[in-house]
Amino acid sequence: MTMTRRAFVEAAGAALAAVGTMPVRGWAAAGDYAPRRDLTGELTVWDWSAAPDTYGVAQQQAFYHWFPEQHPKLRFRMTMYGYTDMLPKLEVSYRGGGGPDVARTAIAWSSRFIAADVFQPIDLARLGLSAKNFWPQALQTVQKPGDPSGTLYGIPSNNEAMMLVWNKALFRAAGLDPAKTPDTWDDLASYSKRIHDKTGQAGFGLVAKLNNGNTPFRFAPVMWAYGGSIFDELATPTTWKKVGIDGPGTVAALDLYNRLFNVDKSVEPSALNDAQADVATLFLGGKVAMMIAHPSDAAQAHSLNPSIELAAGLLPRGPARRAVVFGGSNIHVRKGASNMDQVDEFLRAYESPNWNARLAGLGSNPANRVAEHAPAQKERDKLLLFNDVTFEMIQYGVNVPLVAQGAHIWNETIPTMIQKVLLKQTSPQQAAAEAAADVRQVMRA
Amino acid sequence: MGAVRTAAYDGIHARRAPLLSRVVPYVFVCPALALLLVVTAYPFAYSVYLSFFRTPSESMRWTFTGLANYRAVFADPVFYRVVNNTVVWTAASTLADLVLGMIAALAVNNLRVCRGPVRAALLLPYVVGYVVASYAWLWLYQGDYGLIDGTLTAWHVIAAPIPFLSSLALALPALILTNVWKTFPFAMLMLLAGLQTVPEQLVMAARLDRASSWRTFWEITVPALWPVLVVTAMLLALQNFHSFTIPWIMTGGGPLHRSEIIANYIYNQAFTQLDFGLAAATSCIISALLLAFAVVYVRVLGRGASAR
Amino acid sequence: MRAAREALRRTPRSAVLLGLVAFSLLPFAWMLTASLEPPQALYTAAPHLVPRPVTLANYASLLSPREQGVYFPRYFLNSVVVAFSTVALALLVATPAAYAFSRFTFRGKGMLMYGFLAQNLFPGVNFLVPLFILMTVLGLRDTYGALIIGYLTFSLPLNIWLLRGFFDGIPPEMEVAARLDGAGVVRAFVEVALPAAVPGLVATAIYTFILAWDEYLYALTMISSADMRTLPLGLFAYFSEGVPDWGGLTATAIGMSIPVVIVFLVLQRYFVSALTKGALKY
Repeated sequence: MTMTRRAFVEAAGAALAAVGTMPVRGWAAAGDYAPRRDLTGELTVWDWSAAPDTYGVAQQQAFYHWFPEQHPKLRFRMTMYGYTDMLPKLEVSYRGGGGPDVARTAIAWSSRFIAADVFQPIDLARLGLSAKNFWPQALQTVQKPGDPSGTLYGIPSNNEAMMLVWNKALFRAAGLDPAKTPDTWDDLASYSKRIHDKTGQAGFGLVAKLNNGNTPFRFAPVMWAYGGSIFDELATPTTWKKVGIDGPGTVAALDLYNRLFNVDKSVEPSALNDAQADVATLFLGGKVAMMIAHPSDAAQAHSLNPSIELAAGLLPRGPARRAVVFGGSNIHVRKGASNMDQVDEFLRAYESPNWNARLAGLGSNPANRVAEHAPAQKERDKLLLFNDVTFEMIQYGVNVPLVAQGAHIWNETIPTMIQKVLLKQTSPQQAAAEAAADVRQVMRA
Repeated sequence: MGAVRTAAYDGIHARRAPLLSRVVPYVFVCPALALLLVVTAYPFAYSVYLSFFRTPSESMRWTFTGLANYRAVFADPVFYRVVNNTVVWTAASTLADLVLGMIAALAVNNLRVCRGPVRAALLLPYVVGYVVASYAWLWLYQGDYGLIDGTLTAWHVIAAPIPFLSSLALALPALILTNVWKTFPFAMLMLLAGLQTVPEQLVMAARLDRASSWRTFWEITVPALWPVLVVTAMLLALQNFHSFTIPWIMTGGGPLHRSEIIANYIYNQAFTQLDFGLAAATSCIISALLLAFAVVYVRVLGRGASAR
Repeated sequence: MRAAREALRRTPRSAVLLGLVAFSLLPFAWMLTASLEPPQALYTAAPHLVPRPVTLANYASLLSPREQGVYFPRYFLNSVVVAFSTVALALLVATPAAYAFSRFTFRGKGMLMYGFLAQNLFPGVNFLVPLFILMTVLGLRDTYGALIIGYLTFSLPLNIWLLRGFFDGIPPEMEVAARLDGAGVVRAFVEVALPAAVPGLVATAIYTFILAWDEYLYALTMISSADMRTLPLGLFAYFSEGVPDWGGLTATAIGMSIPVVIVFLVLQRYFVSALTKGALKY
């Protein structure tokens, strides 16, 4: 690691303070949420659960208990969904003209609804915040692609990046330095082969299940590292119009997957039917040495099997760059919501530094970067494993396809492309070309 | 037989209450009919309606697109793969259910010792849910720590684990086996019930004639069981055709859609891709295909129901 | 053919039975093992069927609140409410209809019967999107009502069909006698035909109960809140993006199977007799 999280925060904070143009209220002391006791009317909120992160779940419970308590006259209704559960329900509710006033959704879903124009623009200044409170990638996820006005149709709630987690004992058994992360994806493949040759266990946990969001989340970083992209997401500004998935970077990433699975056979043989949960199970059983994971996965693994010697580092880099999927969630407000006072109050509470830190759980980080200094962050620091690593990783974050058809491209097109190569149905070039044709077709439809 | 009895009761019914007699049957059927209209006819009609609309992502409004959804389904190579899988899944599962169910029924029938426990053990898979079955078999098949691969490699039957669920050739057969495990007890139960109706004397007579048990089976048992076999086959074929859970939990349809069946396909269109119009169009295509089958189906199950 | 015949004759019945019983029980044996040992034992040790070491911690964890304070007893309660309501509603509505189809001649009878039967032809997923939209518009999504109504799509036709077969198997003479004694059509149905049909009602109820207890697709689509989850969805609470809790999952699976297994084994004689007397009677 080149820089610890704390050092980074301090440097960033100093830099931002030097700009000196921040609204004062946004940078007020941590724990700054002052409820307006006279709030009446009603407010409906949909959120999704942080499970299996038990700390995160407890914070959500505390928050949704605490917030209505501060506003006894407010009729507050909240529904907690599962991670993949909310999307169709939101879609149908919005189509029917109903739906919640406020919904927190994963980044990958935001674009769909922003494109459908169902969200109210959000004025950060009214909440006492500014663009500087958030990561630039995070703000892109709540904008319309190519919109010069930069209007925000949502507000980031939490952001995170994955990292590489490994089992030190298996590294040692393979004669590798247990403290050293593979520097490049090519190194990772060599490590994997070496571990498999020496220990008989899978070196790297490959996630390649069809119709599963875990698969593209782990493939895209490799593709970007080799300079490949689905659209033109590596360029600034991104237009999301040019389809680039058939480029040499994608082919190189597919070659790497092919090398791991078919040539070296150094990954688990069930990879094509494995989601992250399956790989995590194998990792926990000492049958996989390295996996791409969230910090909460590491914390959970540690609590379930303390005998596993965990280590974590940055995801490897490729010839073009180091990259990771920029993850997280956004909070959106339904267009035409007439109770903006109530909505603002909720957003102020959710984005207030202490709550924003706590609600990020162990699987993510607060989106409001002021929260990195909040007292609640110190409480989290005691529980977090490798948060400095994941924090450092965020700067390499690249966005998922911020187009309305993103879900299809992400969950269907990319896994299909990978499976074609791993099952030797087509060459990597052919698979990438077919994926490009598929993307063009869904974008036309 | 049913028709004769209907006539017997109908006669007295009409005589006792001539005015009401025409209304009463409708009153009896009415609640069921009303519910049916809500839970089936309305959704059915709505599906047809929806299938002509684009439920696009660019706007929350639905726009009429004519037959575009149908064209999109027919242009999707995955659709044909899935239909093919569904036919294989339904036919193979049903056939295996009947064969295994028949073997089990014959073996259990007239069993003197442990009849209760054996029958209970064989019925167990039928009673536990599809979800439970899926998770249990997921583990048995798991290539890295599952019982099947683990045991076979430990006994040196195979050199390396076979990744059943991620193999192009083996995924669908593996899921069919799970499905058969779950559904064959129903065939056994029906055939066991049917076996009680096979005339004992005929079997005894055949025995005395020194007919082989193979011949006795084909020439006496099977013909006697034929009506039961047809109804059982029909019910199981439908149940298997309607399956969703086993592929959904165990493989998600992979690898490369090789184990995806029609219910998974429609579900993904609707709730993963969020294209309700496309899902409705696929539903309508499937319904149309099923209507061809409906003639056979109502003949078998609706015996004696024809209007007179 | 000949070889097959020979093989069949040589295979003793007990060997066939043993094989079948092993096939039926093996997955349960595994689940039982997994539910009785610490989670790590499952994937750290080689595949095994004897728990090492034995622990009841997984079962104990069923009784400790999980996500949002919701846990096994709540899933169980939801499943009980939904399954029993479905059974009750389906029987209430299907029994008179089945009786009418069995006893009366009336215009449109064939068409109606075919209509009911044909409905069962179509997979539940066909009705899913419209019902999902309907329930959302009616504000019934995420309620017991949504599931019970959804489950009627498959239970109603089957109930009518099974019960009609059963009424066909009951001689109408008793009802004829009752009617000749002056009883009305409703009294003949309620006081004479219904008591005779109890085994058929029980069998139909069991059939519906098993389907509703296990239903997954509608529940997956309609239910969102943790405290509304039925047991099949409750299993998912153990299987999330992180490491699945196989111990909790298998313990839940066993816990959810036990009641149905007991009910079924106790009442199976009704089930078999109803099938023989009713559905299979020609």
